This record gives sequence, C-alpha cells and structure tokens, in this order.
Amino acid sequence: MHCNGPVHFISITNSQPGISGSIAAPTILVLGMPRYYFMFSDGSATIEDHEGTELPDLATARQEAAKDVEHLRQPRIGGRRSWAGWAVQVRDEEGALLCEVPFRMPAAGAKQRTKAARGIGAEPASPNA
Amino acid sequence: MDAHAPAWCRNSLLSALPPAELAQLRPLLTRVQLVHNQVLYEAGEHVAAVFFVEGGIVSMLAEEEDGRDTGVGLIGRDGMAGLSALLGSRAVSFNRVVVTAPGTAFRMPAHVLRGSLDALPVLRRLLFEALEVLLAQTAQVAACSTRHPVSQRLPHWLLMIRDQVDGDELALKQKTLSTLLGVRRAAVTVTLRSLQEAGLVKQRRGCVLVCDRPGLEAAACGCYGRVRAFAAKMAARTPDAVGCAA
Repeated sequence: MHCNGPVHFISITNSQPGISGSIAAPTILVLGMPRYYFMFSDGSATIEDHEGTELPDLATARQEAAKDVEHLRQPRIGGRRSWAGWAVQVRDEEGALLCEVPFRMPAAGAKQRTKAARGIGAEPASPNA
Repeated sequence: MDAHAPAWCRNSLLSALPPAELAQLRPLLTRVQLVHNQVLYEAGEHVAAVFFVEGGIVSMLAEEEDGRDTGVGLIGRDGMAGLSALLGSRAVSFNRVVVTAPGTAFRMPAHVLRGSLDALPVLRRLLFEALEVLLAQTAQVAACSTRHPVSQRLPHWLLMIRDQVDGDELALKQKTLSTLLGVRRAAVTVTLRSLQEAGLVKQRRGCVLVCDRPGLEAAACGCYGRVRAFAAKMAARTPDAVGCAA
C-alpha cells in the first residue's frame, strides 16, 4: 500500500549563521504530530485513506480506530454494508501496518473477560451466558 | 438579469441589481480575501459587517459539547454572510461562521447596509429573499441531519457546495466534509469511496471532483431539491409580495 502523506521536514545545516546557501550536513527532522492513515480491509477489498489524521501517538490512533468502528457500525453512518470480517488498519506515513482493530470482537475475548471477572470475586458467569 | 452583470462582481445578489442601484452600492463595498478557516463571526458575536461572497464557501457551524463543530448552513456566491443584520442594529450571529474554502467577498459595514436599503429597493427585496432561503436551508439541514443516512447527506452537501462554485472541482478535504456533516472522517472516507465506485465523484488529493451531477442528485436525499425548489419559488414571486418594515 502506498501512503502519500506529506512529511514535513526542515534541513539544519552546520553552516555559520549569516552564510546562506552553504549546506554541509543536512539533518532531516519531522515537525508536528505524526500522521496516521486509517484504511479499511476485509482481507481482500480495501478502502484506502489518502488524507490521514495527525495524532499524538499510536495509542491515540488505536483509540480513534476503535471509535471509527463503533461509528461505522451505525447503519445511518456506515451504510448498508455488512462490516463482518472488516478491520480498520492504522498505518504510518511509510505505509507500515501499526495496528488493526476488527469490526467484531473475537469469541475468545469474551471468555477472557469472564475469567477476569471471576478472578476479582465477581459472580461466576452462568454457563448459559 | 445577466445582461448587465458586472465583470468585477461575481456575487449573484449584487449581479442581479439594476445598474443604478449597483452604482450607489459600489463605493460602499470593499473587496476582501476570505482565507481558509478565517472566522467571520464567533458564535454570539454582533454582526458588524456583512460579506457578499464572490468565491469560496462560508459555513455556519454549531459547536458540540466535545468541542467539535457541525455544519448547519452554507453561504456562497448566491448569498451574503450576516443576513441577520437586516433585522436590526443589535443583530447577532447565533452560529460561528467560518471560511471553509477560500475566496473573496465584498465587505460592507452592517449599519451602512441597513441605511442604504430604503434607496435600494431591489437589493432590499433580494436580501430578504436570501434570508428566507437561508432559514429554509438551515431548517432542512437540521431535519436532514437527524434522519438521513450519510450516503444521502454527503451528496446533498456536495451539491450545495457545487452550486456555489465554478467548475466541478471542489477543494475540500475529507476533514472539512466530516465537520460539515458532523460525522467522523472515517464515515466520509467510506462514503466517498462508495460514491466513487458508483462513478459519481472522483477523489484527488484535497479535492472532490463531481463527475456525474444528475447521479449525485439522485443519490442525495430530497433535502437538496426541496430547498432549491423553494429558492426558485421565492425568486419567482412578484416584487410587492416581499419585504417588510425594518
């Protein structure tokens, strides 16, 4: 996947102040927050994101992806599309996959939450739950 | 109407004025730049000046509790920002009004506009008509936002914007559209992709190209056509049916 996000950079030179145009050893820095790209995929079909969003860090990006999932699940928002099997993929400006948030929680996750509830003294889950 | 439309002015209201009225008005107007994200009025701000938009898009925004804005109305070359100034010297902008797409406008102090209306009956009629249409638009957008799916609301907004600009290329980022519609950007990403797959739009970096305008109208909710029909009906009324005491 090819991300076309802009990378903001500034070149810092070793030149003396006041001497313009002399570039000795330029250093590239990234200014501002990183830009994350939120694309959608069901394993074969993809909906790309060519704009991205500037966010402070990956943890925030993951939270935003989770919010996107809840948002798009609403029929008036996400359309008639069935989102089963789809996931939000968060990628960086180079296109590397950073994390993925699926549209459906796996069944194993539900069992683990129940175990954790038992561990802290909560009522054991009913076998019919 | 267009026979005497001045080349120097692309605002529809001003272009529709008889030459005598335009000649009186012209010295009172100052052309200004509308810069992207420029705030014309903060929510609750007194309307001290009005803007006859020539190019670009101005939107009226409602602020939500989480600080995120939602679009409640749109003003372009067919209108004037600050129409509530017609209603009196204490007129206030209920909504925050910002420049969503850059362009130019003719600016005029609100009190000067009010003072000139007695001598400019055509302008007075056109402005009150524009106010009626804006009220209709904001009412329809409110109903639309609660009931219609994004798959219909996005074409509705794209068409409203398309009506106010030249050409099919709309300089809009997904983020801007998401603010106008009051949805997350992901909803715009996904919906634009569907519209593109249907051949109605093409996405370029930072802009949306309208490819199939009739198709987009068919995809939109009835809201778009309803307000357009209302505007046409208002424009077709005989002059003495419009106007009220200031």
